[in-house]
Amino acid sequence: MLATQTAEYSVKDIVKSFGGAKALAGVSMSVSSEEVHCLAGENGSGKSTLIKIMSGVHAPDSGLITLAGKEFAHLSPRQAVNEGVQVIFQDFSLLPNLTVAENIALPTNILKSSKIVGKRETRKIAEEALGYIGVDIDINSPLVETSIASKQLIAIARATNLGVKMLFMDEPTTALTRKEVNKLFEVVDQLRKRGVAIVFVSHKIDEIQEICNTITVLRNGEVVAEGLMSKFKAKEIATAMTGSEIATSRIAPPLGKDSRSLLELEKLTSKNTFDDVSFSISEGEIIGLTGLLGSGRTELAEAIFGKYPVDAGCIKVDGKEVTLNSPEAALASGIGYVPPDRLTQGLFLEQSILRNIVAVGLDRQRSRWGAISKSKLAKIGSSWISELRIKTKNPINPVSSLSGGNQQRVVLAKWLSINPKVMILNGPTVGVDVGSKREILEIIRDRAQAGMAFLLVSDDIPELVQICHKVLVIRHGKISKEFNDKQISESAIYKELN
Amino acid sequence: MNELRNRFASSALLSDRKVTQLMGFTLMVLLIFSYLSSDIFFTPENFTSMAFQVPEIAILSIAVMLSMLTGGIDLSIVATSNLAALLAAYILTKNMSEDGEITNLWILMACLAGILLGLICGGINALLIAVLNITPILATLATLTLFNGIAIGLTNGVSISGLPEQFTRVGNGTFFGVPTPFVLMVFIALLVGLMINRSSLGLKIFLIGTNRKAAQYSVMGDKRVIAWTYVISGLLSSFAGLIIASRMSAASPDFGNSYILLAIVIVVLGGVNPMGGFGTVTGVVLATIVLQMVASGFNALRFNQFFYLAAQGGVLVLVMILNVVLENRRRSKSVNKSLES
Ligand SMILES: Nc1ncnc2c1ncn2[C@@H]1O[C@H](COP(=O)(O)OP(=O)(O)OP(=O)(O)O)[C@@H](O)[C@H]1O
Ligand SMILES: [Mg+2]
Repeated sequence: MLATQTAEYSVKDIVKSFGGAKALAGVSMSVSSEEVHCLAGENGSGKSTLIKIMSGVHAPDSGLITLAGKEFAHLSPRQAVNEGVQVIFQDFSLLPNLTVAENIALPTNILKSSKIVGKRETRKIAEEALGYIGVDIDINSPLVETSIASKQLIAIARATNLGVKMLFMDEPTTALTRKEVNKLFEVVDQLRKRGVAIVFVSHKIDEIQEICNTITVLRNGEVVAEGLMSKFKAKEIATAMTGSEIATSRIAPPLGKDSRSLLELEKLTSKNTFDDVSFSISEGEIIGLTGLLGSGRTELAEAIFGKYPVDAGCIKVDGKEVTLNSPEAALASGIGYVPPDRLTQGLFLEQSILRNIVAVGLDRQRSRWGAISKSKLAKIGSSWISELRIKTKNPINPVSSLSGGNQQRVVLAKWLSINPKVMILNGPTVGVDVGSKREILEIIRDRAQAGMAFLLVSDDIPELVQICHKVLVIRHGKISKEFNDKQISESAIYKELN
Repeated sequence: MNELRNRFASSALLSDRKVTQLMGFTLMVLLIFSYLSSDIFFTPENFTSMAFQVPEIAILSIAVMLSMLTGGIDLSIVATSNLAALLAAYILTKNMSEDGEITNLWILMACLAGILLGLICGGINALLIAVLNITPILATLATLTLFNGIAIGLTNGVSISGLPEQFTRVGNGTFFGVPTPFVLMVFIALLVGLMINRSSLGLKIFLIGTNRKAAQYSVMGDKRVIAWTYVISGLLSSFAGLIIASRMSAASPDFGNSYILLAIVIVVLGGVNPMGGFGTVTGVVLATIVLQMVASGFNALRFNQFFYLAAQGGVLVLVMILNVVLENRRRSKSVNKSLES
């Protein structure tokens, strides 16, 4: 099923422009089998573009691709697959309406050009593939019902099935919890031992250090650092990526002594998901909320946004009790919510960056006759593009043309632009590079200083430590621990989580 | 920054490249038929007659376009338009004298009644789709049958004809030499164009059609917006019904059944994305004109009717293939271009 002798997969002097903008300006990289190679770099530095070139999705303007001794100036996706190149894309392309088994077996069947495929054979192929990477997922359940972590593993199973010799994983861990990441790493390590060359993209430096043997760092489409992983310290990787040192100090702004409380939850309960949750957030305060997947944290956040039913308890905004039974009611009370999944919940991918930014609160832009002035919208849009440093040449480009991290900034801009009193952020820096992450945290800090109250739901413990006044840990729907200012530390929170 | 703003504003004018493409296509069809049949096709009479026929189907197509932009569809447009026309025709014939005289007030009342009925029909669709969450294609298929059934039941399938001259004058008259229905169509197209491009309702329609879930998370009142599109669709259908009744001097329960499919075809031909989110009024109007020219060109060349149908289909297939091919090439190019400048 897999390669046995060592092989070299490399690119040399790859240039790729999209119009005038160079996404890659002469990149060389080499990965050999039994190696997990980290591809790191800021948002928009060209990581995904390089992967697309090595897998035949994009043709390079110039440069050479070598796959296990064979040289290609132009590589077709089919050729790439024949050479054993497989990609698990940032938005992995699985078919939601088919079952797990069909998703794993289908491409194999298509590749073999077998016209009629029996259910039994499909299942056999799927079982073998999952068994091979040592995971246990119900192969008969439809894909839509599986978790993101399972989808990730299913995509890997599909790749092994296609005879993978070189596997690209573009930000596979963004939506996974630590436990799921561990499972994924076990699988990755197994594949590596069996002789697969793996390229791993992630913005989480601790993960990179854990799983990767070698590293290439890109900045603005150029290689700025490369070598053995063991030669790099975490700080050095971050510095190489961004070109400057990234601070990781705590920046939670000082709280006013008598700031009034903006959001209060009193014994909020929703059957079977969260129970008896009470806390309050005052003006300018940033409260972190973390917990494992299934702990009820997203449901709690959505309940405050009026998108999840509440059975008992109450919510007070600005001291007044409110009924938040719809997002409309929440917005009217001054509550904003950045949802966790930007592709399906946060963005209108095919629409322009501009339209995405102004999507919330369009009614507020109405002038006489209910008309909306395009130049006014454009003004709002471009001011947020520069404020959040969204990397684009033209705001009428579709959001889908942005790199992942820049897409995330668009979602943030959309909600910041209407200036809510209380902002709930659910995974606001998922897929955002270390430098930008710090910038986003600084934006949060500045807003908090101006009086906005934040509930920050996140898996990213370092981020919570940097910005929060208080961190709540939720477990089985109950607040299991509360860390106040001085008690907040990464180790303490990790300990509580495990 | 200023530069960004200007670019945004100017691009809004030329918003859709599909429109330019369609304009070229329209011109091509015009030239071909004018060359082939300069004596019959390329005459003022023929253009006038086309200008009388285009408006009703164009308005119905615009109605379909609105629902399609939200990712839905309205199949009940023709049934609604017939029902509105019948009600107006009934009021008109009941209140005119033996020799066809009627007061302007009654004409106004008849039109208003028709329009109100159109709004009610649209409201029923809105209720089923936005409130009860029934799939648009099923909901409007049901109301299509319902409205049709009511029309046939009340009239016993007989059409109401012999409408007063004061009323039919509008549908057959001209305004500075241009057929009045055509003027009305331009007016309606402009209004709808303004609405979808320059109002918050319009922008919401595009966004909801692109990603309904994201629209819900962006708190834009998606149900209300979708309800409005069906109500407006009903309103536009009733306008079309009144224009038809005025032009034909009659209203009939089974007029223009083939118009539903034709309207859908026109909307897709006009560059509206059947999945929702993208489309222009200009595109839809141009597509109507192209199809009308093909129809009347074949008539002028005295081609067999079946041949015409096949040709119409052929034109559609051709344009859609062209759409896909050009779109694929353009998509990568246009992004590149905007990055370059
Ligand atoms: N199809 C495209 N058309 C135009 N520009 C593109 C296209 N794909 C990528 N780009 C641009 O090329 C640059 C590199 O993008 P790429 O997606 O490779 O970044 P990335 O390193 O993967 O970033 P992220 O970490 O945010 O995913 C970006 O500036 C992006 O806007
Ligand atoms: Mg990427």
